[in-house]
Amino acid sequence: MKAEVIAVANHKGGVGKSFTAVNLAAGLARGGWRTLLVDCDPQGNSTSMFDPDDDVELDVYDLIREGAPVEKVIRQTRIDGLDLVPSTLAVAKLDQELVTMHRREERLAQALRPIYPEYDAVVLDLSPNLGQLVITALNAADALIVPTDATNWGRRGVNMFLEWSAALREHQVLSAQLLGVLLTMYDPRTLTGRETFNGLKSDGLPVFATTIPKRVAAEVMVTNRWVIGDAEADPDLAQAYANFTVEVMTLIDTARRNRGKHHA
Amino acid sequence: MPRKDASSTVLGMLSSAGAQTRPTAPEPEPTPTPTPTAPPQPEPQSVAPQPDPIPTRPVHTLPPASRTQADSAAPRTMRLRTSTAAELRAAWLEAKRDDVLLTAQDFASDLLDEALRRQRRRRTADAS
Repeated sequence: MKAEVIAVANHKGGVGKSFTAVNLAAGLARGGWRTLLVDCDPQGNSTSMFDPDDDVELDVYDLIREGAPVEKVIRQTRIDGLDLVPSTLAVAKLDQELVTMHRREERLAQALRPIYPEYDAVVLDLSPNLGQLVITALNAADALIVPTDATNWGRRGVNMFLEWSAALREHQVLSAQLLGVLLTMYDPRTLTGRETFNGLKSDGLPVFATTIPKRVAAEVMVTNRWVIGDAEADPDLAQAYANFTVEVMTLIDTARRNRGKHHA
Repeated sequence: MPRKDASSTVLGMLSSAGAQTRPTAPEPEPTPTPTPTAPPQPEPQSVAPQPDPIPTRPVHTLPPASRTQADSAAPRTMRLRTSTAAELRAAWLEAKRDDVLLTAQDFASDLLDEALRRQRRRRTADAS
């Protein structure tokens, strides 16, 4: 069976995309799903969570630009069932170089295709822009998750991003189902937080029932490379990301069953 | 809630949801093979109630390329006696203080490798 490819994307920076991608991937793996995390962001934050030695030899650039076999690019992480396609600063060149490549939108999907049967889920961590690599990565996705911080600018950014992605759908570059908008750094005690949550719903968007609480401990987790399921992880954040992961598992399972019905 | 308990809760929750929703069918339960020279053990009185936090895949091999038939034929999970599981976990946590990246799988596998080597040497010595 083909892996479900889940893109975690938003062109707004600082909304917890990589933290969400990393914890979703770790959560899926710890739930028994064979998971591949693909770091498509030249900042390499997801990579750094699992590569303390910073000794990446092959990355997404080599995969897409140089045609390196995906099996050689994949690295195992310390978490059982979770592998990684790392990123380095070299990936930044892809935005420009992809433009001159034939069938550029399909490059990532093509490169990953050989290993789809080996995984249950592939999580794509995208960079905060609307460049060609983001478009290419979105083309590979079956499902889309849009994290946003609980602010007015965050809500505005989500609507802009989805408006932009609608154009990709129109041109058949994007076919991923929007699984939902994930509210991060949420503080229900603030009016802005509550207004953003309700505002996104009133915009007609699917919003995950789980919200990720605002916690200083998120930075501590990043600093120490702790993820969901680690004994040292912040309990509130770990619980929130576990709830979110279960929501994602359930949505994907439902979508898959529905697809099966249609195909039957 | 203490962090350790929170972590167990999270792992249990993920394990349960994952088992119900995982796209591909899990590997069939292998038939347990008794270790030839292990002393006869009483039936375990109980089994560990928490989901297994021990990773079950070799850490040093790439998933698509490295699985051999012999690897996949051997059972990779086994229920331990509750007391043994508790001791193993405590020893792993102790070892993890020196090596934070030490996985439970590597720790347990290394212990077993060493014990099996010692057992083979003893058997060879007994036979000669």
